[in-house]
Amino acid sequence: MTALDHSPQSAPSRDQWQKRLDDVALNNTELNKLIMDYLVVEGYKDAAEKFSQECGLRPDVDFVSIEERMKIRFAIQKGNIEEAIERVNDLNPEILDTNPQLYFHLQLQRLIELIREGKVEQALLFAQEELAPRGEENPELLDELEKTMTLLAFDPSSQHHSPVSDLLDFSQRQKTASELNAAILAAKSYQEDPKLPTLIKLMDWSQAELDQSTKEYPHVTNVLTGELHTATGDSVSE
Amino acid sequence: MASLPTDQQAVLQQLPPYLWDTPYADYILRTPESKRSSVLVPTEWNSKDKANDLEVVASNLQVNYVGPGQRDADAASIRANHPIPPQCGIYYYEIQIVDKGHDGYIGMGLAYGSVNTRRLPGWEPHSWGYHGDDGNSFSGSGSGRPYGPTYSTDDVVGCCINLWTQQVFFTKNGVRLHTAFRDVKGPLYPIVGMRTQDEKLLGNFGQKAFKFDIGHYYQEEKHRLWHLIKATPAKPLPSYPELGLLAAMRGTKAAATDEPMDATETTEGDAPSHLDITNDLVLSYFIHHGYRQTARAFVQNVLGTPQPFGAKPSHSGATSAMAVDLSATDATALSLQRVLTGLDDQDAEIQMRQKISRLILAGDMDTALRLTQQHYPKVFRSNESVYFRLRCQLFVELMRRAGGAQAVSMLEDQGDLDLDADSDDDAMHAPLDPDGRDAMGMELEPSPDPLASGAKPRTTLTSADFLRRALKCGRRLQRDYTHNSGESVRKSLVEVFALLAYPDPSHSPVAYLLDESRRADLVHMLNEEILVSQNKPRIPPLEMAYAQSKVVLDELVKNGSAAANLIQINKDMSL
Repeated sequence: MTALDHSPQSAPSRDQWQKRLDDVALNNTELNKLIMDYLVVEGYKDAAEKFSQECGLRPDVDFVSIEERMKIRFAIQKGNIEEAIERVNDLNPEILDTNPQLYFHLQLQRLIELIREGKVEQALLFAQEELAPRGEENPELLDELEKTMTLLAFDPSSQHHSPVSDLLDFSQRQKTASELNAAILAAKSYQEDPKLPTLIKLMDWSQAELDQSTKEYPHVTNVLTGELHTATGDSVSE
Repeated sequence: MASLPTDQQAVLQQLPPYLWDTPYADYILRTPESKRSSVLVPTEWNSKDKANDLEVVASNLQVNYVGPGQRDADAASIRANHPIPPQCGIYYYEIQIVDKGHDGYIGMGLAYGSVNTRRLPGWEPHSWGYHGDDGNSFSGSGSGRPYGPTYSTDDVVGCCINLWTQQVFFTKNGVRLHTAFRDVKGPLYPIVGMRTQDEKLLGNFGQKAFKFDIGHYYQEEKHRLWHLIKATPAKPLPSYPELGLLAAMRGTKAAATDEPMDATETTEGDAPSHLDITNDLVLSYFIHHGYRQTARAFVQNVLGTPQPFGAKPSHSGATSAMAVDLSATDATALSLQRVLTGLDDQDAEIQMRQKISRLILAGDMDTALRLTQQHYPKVFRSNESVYFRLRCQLFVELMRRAGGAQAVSMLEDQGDLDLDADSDDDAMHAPLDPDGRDAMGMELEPSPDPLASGAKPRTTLTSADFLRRALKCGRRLQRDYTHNSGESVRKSLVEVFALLAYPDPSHSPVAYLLDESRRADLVHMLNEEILVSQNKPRIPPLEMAYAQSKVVLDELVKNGSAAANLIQINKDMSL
């Protein structure tokens, strides 16, 4: 292939690579806009307001419009799914009517909360009456229900050792909250996805792509630390 | 394109417009002129790479058949002047049939440079073609397969290779036909061939507008690739930062069941969602840039519940914008608390760094040096050159205040040239000891406004005082560095000491030393060194992700990755 016809060049040294990283003209205004977009889309209203003040960026969105979404998000983050469902239906009943999968996930989260609180009987009843009938119509959802029910097979003190313990994570509430948030945005025909998370995927993708022709360059293997690692696995900052 | 310099515009004019605003175009502009032709797209027919029975006219764009045109052996082909560079991602060219001649046995497509030009496109291995007389497609064989409509005089036919997917399709009069070939790769040239008398065709390599909307196709493919990238599953991470939302959230599970918290414990195959990772990156960005109130509100929004409006901060000091509702006793509140406490700890650190930065920017190197020594002793211990540069700047600042060597007359008037005498107003010698023996450190903690701290005594000091102090500072620099240092250090010393040579340094050849931008550079460098000395990243991981993506993408384009030309990180992210 022509792509590989070029005589193989020596692998870039860490210093050369670092210099190139330093030379990337990073426009903080652009990055700030991406972050603001993220805060607004995800409904983090207080953070969006403070960010607007501290970095001097005006968001295009009216903060008041974020607030209702934020209340719904917080209801879920608190574990109060009924409240969230009520609020969404007040806002626009069509959102849940037209999204059976989303509604199922909300009910599933409610089930998780019941299990977390140790209300075993209530959880069983709820699963049988509310969730199972819906799941039967959609085998994919039934899988998720079954997975959740395995939580009941562990007594509360050891639930977090169970293979499905991540369902009890706060992240699970957030996942549900974000799904609902996206549905509300979609109903208002705003964009649904924040753009910022794509940056992480882009880095993973581009590194994997470059790995196909050469692995001889400094990698960022942990996006959270941003440390550079060379092929041999040592870290630049050390 | 209009905003580019003329010479760059001339280079881009050689590309079809759909490639003007792409990473490939940037790459072409970065490539030195001598090497550019090897990565340039085809621009015309190559009159030296053809069968004899063809003639090339009209600036090497039109090709006429001039052979006997009786048998298959009379076929004649011509290639374009360059192979298609893989990094252009998607390549497209068109031809217009000027005259179908006797039978219109015309073919167009792609071929390797080694393929015999006495054959029509597609007849040989490594050759792919679409023929006008029967509408068939040919791939390495003399017998074609039904593909599209026939084409003849005045028709415009195009050939597109998607180098990312390695698929080829043709167009007729601006309408796209279905995929003709798959797995097409190698050093490919545009190629056309004819074999009956009076056949004529005109190539278009982007000089004129294409009939087919290739720009639209390019955008479609771009969106398809982004979609694929977004669908990439999250990668498992080796570790989480201590003060992170992720760590806090991981903790909630354990805390919720009254088990001892073990932040390092992770479930097998544990991959945090992109949302979790993004939250963590955003938080570290806020902290790094000192957006303290935003950081608090963000943590609160992500982990907690909204505060009623008008609620007063109830604890964790006056710096807290948001207060934690301690009555909420669930695990989330606990981890929220943990993260906010961590933020408080970081606050003090951020404020110290900001304070030192302000001091340097205001020219108060005394205090800046002292505070750095006091709070970040590791910086000077591990990086002598930072220490040296700060001390040089101290000398420069003192010279600036002295207003130059003209102050020497006043100095003489005072009859005080005894530089070795330690006077009490000399606050410089104490902190300038990288071993950390800081005799002056105790009385340092300055008044609340850091800028006022140095300024107060200084108002009483004369130019002569500053000159004396500058000379002292200079002597110490000489003493400490001249005998055991490298060339660059010696050069820097000569450079700054040159300030002494001019009565008015601000109008001297070394006036650039007094430029305020040098202060900003110093601030930037010191800030990074402080972060590095604390094992913190130089730039926030979020910015690192951006920079790394950009550099890797550049590298991909250089290596000839077709997909990379579909990605413009600076533009696509904010589509």
